[in-house]
Amino acid sequence: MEAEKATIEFYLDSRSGVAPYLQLVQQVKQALRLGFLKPGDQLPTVREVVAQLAINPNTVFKAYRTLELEGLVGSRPGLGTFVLRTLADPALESHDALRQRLMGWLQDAAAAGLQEESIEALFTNALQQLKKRNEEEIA
Amino acid sequence: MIQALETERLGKRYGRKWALRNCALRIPIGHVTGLVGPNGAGKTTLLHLAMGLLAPTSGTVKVFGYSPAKEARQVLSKVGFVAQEHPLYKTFRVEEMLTAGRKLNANWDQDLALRRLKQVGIPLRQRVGKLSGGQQAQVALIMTLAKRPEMLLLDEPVASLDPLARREFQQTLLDAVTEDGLSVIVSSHIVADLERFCDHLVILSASQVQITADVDHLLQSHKLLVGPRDRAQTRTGTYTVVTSREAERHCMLLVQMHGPMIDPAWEVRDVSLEDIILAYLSQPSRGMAGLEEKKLGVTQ
Amino acid sequence: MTWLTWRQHRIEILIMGIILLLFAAVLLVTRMNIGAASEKLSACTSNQLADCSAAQGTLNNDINQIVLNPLFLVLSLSLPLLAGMFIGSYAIARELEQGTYRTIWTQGIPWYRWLVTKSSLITSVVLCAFGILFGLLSWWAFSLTSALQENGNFAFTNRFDIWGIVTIAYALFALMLGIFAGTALRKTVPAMAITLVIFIAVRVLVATFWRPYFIPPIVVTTPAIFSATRPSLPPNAWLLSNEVVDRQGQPVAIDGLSGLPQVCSAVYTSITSSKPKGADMALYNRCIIDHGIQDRMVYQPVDRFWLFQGIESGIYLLMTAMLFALTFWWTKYRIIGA
Repeated sequence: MEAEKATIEFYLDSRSGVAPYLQLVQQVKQALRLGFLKPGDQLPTVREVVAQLAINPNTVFKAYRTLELEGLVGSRPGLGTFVLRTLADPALESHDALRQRLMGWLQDAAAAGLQEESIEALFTNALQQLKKRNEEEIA
Repeated sequence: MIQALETERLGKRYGRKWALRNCALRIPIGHVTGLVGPNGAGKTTLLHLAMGLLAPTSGTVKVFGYSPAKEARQVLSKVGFVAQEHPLYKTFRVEEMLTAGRKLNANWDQDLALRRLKQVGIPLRQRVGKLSGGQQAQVALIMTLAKRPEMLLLDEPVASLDPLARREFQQTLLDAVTEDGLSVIVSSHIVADLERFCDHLVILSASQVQITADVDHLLQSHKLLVGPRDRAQTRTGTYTVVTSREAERHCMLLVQMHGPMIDPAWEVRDVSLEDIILAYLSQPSRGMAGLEEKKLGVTQ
Repeated sequence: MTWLTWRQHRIEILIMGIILLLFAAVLLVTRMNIGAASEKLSACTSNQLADCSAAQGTLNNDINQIVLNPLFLVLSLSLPLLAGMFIGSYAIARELEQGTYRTIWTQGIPWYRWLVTKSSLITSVVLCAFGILFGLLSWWAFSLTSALQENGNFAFTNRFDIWGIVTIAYALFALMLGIFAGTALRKTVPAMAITLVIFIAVRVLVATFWRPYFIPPIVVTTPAIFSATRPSLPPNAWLLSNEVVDRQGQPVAIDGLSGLPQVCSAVYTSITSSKPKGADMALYNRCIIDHGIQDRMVYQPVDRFWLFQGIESGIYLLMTAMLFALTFWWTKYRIIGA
């Protein structure tokens, strides 16, 4: 039997404070965004994920059910869980442009004398402010 | 609704000392529940009371609705138990331990036992005493799985195992949970692995239950707040403090959130399960149990 | 549980079997020798002119090789204790000490079933083994009874502890004592030590202080006079005491030199000093009768032998039953804590 590669490899960060099932959901979404998972792909079975990560099967069930509720995946009894739609941005090219501009900014920051940790703090702070602003706009 | 394990004011006293006291628990079926606490907290006593190895000094304990003292056979047929240090007869061969299991249990799936032993590469003719610690733990676990129970109670099953053996043990256990829908109650004083392993938690300290909760709920509702020291309060409408650390101008509060944090003065950070557990262990009798009860009966 | 009990105790059971075989072999060989010697003696005594003391001596020697053999005696006396220590206390204590009971009591059968079944099984095995031992010994002694009784070393006391059914009762008692010690102490070495000490203590106490009085003994009192006919101890009886007592039944002081009651010792000396041989003892006898001095012989006749065996066996079996109840109680209330 040829060794098939799984469509997605999960990992778990036990120190992050994020619920394990949410971590799995986020990893699936990230993979969808980046195009690593495409519609029609089968997600690993609960048993496979449990064997890989030694995690509670309820976690996997919960994660898959959450994704199902968001319409991202669908389960076919007896067959498995399959990706229904993608989250990848249609305009992938703009991602490239964005990525290049990001690299430019990083080089500027490094040239200005900022260490890695400071750059990260700056970025995290700005991202949080953006999140707050978005939430205030919604509220 | 029948609970996997239900206790009411359960207590066990030895002489003048209470090993467990006033324990009220409702652990539902279908979960992997971690029983966490320091050594001497009463975890082993609780498990022994559930299996009928001890009788209560006060209160009651029921397993699947049955009394371990009065309806021992029903309990024993539904529940498998691995005691601390997984005691087996060292001079028996592995296959002889299986024979013992087969003779002493009404239900016995020999094929399952053989299959799982083969899966982890344990030779049948080897004497138990010559196996490694991890292998002995696997044999004890597989013996309980072979009687096709509905629940497993495990007393610190991986405490003395090296990390690889620990991971292999967990894999065998979780595979059985996935396959058979087993309920599991596992006690541990090592908190590191619990988050991935358990979906339910009981924290025991000083012979009393400190908190019982769903793991996801614990993670989502507990946060680390960093902010100015003079703004800190023990209890507000938004949060209740579990533990706190204060510096000169700022402080860090590990809190349980009751609602969204809108005060911009506070930075909100996620907390790992390990830190949440340690926080509750270091503050005995915070009594959050009542609040958490709401989340207890969550079913799939 | 039958398989489990066998598997856990197979070594002890095999050793018991080997010991039984050895006993059987030795008894068989000696029995044949004795048979031959016995026939020689019969052939001799049927010839009324012959002097058969040599043949009698050979027969006695052959018999005493077993009946008085120190190794045989020690082994036979200690077998019940060994069974108690190694099958009773060692096995139970180890189960509790090493914690394997937590595995065995949580399989499919609860602790009380385990205790009752295991105790019954090993009791049956020990009962069988010692029953066979008793059978072997009885077979050996069976048709030699008269020869053994002539031998004199096979009397009431000499053969009580080993050649009777009490051996079975001792073994069962030792076994249950071991089981209780193992249960209460939960540690192998102390349990075996306690079993040893208590077993020996009980055996000695019962044999020394209780056994002589199971049934009130026969007391024969005669005036302690010199006489042609004196009552003698019936053959093979168990002599408990043979004392010289006064009217109230208290022992009288005996003169160290003459071996006679002190009160009349002077009279005796005065009679015999003048006429050492053929003296007229009438004066001495008068003294004795005046003082009411009597020979008192207390004994158990040999026809009570089997009755005594039954009584002592009953005592030990009663203690065995009590020990079992105690073990059950201890497990329920001290280990489980019900």
